[in-house]
Amino acid sequence: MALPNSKGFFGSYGGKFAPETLRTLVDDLEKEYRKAQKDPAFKKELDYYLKYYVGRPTPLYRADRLSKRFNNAKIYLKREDLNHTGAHKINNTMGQILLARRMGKTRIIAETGAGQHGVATATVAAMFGMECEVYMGEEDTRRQALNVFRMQLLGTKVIPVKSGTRTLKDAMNEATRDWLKNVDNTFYIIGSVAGFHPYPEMVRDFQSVIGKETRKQILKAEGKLPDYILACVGGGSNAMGIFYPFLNDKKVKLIGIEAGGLGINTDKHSATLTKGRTGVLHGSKTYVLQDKNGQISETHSISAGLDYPGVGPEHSYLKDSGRVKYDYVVDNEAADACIMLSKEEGIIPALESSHAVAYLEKMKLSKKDLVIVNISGRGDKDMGTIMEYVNKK
Amino acid sequence: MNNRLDSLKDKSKKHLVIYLMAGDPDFKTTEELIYSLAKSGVSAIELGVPFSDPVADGPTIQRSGERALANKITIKDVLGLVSKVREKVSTPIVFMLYYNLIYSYGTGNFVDDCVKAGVDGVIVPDLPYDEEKEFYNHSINKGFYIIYLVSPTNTTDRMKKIVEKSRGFVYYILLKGVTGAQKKLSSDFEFLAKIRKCSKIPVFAGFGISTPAQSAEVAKHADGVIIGSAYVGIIEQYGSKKKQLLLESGKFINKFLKTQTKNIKEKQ
Ligand SMILES: Cc1ncc(COP(=O)(O)O)c(C=O)c1O
Repeated sequence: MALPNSKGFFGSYGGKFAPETLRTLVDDLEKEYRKAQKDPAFKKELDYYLKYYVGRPTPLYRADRLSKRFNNAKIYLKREDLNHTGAHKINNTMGQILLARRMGKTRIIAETGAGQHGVATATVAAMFGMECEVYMGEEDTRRQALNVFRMQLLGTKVIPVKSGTRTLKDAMNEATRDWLKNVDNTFYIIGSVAGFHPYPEMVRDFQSVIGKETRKQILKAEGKLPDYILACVGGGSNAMGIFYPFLNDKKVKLIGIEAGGLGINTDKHSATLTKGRTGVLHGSKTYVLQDKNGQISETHSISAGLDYPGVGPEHSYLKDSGRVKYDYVVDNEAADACIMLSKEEGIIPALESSHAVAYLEKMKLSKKDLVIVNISGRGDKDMGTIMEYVNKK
Repeated sequence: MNNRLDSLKDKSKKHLVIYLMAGDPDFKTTEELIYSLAKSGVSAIELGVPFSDPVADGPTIQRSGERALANKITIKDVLGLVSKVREKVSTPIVFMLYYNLIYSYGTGNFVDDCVKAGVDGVIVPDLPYDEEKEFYNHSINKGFYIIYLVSPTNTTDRMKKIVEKSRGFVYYILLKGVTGAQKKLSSDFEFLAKIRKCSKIPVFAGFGISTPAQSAEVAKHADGVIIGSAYVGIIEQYGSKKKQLLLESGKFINKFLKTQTKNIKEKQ
């Protein structure tokens, strides 16, 4: 059975826990998305922009030096870092903005943590000449000042969010509040497989271009499916995107890697699926990091893009069903992996993606293993953080 | 099974419901404000339980929640408070909180403990009427009222279903947006009239009402009004100067009650 069900549930996770004022809007979005799914013109338009503007398909690159390092296991990297704007995020923003145009919306809003989704949204908004405002936690605007400037250069207004913990979750709250006020003309481009139905499904579908390409590419290169696919999990969109087309290939082991921060027995991590419990956050029922009273926790990760106390509901479902294994790596391991991949392959991965790379160290790989790592983005935005890390060492 | 909220069916007056956040500025003051509100004759008290991520709230109530959270207020604390004030207060009291708090507490325990403490119902801005059947059924069985919200953006079809599921009263959201006092109210009173036609229980309107004049205007179209941010603003302004706060709170309530009574008289 295809998931989610008609009410937006993946098993017991998901749903539409939206304030009533958004209900009609979210229902309309769902209807419009169903229409678009059936319309060949929509697919054609999206494919056109993905090819000529985003630069798809991205390569599946056989990383020989990396392979040698891990006992000659065969390791491939899916190069989402080579997309326009440097991450997988634009696969989704392109899909959603085309939908927004179909719905006659004139104004775009988004939330962003690291600023990658913000930049990807600002980019497509500029390209289609639409007004765009991006909410970003005040704390993050300081940590990611360069991305703030990039968005501004693209003509987007960046609004620092001063409520709560002043990070990604609060930016999402504030974007939701904006939407409540501006229901008539505004489209909210959510950046991950989180939020109320149909967002988790829709974002997964837009991101699954990653997995579809990967499947074809690995079959062509190796004549068989991989043994493992690794992807980092913040909200979970790059992971859902690469996992989804392989869910029915039971022999392919899928591993999602969360941010262990300073360690999962401290209160400074973002390992939602490892340490959270079921709750309702940002419109869906899913694993959530929260205290014993149900207050949402403050999270931490060296990579701002994984620094989120929730996770897409489909991941919660896949965890419980056992189809995907979820694990974590800590800040230092991710930073070391970033440096390692840079030296071995001349590819500087985003700190988010570095979590997936770091997991290779934990796998006891051997020569017979065929592994794909999703490099969700490039590391340019993280140079400040890495510089600090190297200097401290 | 009696529920104190049934008293709101009284059509001889326009009802006034006041929202305040438990634990802002501190727990003891909340208790005294409840006594004073009850005495002044408000029809019901809406007691907020603070949540870290209040998406449906504007800046005033957000700040109020942050102050309450700084005081480490939990559902258990607020239940304790209601138990205590129930020795003297018979005014209906409803909780207003976000669903994660209820889910985390356990939906069954939440309903049972509310009933035990004397909480009459609950408003949950992020819980649609057709989710969480167990919570709904348990509430019905225990005579605990879930008050659902209707938005001006709802379709008539959905509005009818919400109204049918709601108990105690229906909460009509006056404006597209979050809670917060507005200088001008532009509301869809036609839709409100339609809701009242469909509803067997009273329909109260809230979100954005900041002055007695606005309140009187809205009261012409609803069975009652709900004042949140404007009242919380008083609490914020006078903070822990308790004597003055109680005084100003009294004055504030009287102004609203007076225009409301006048409004009824004009109609008669
Ligand atoms: C490069 C990169 N990878 C991963 C993520 C995490 O998001 P998700 O888990 O939705 O893929 C982000 C988020 O900003 C990102 O920028």
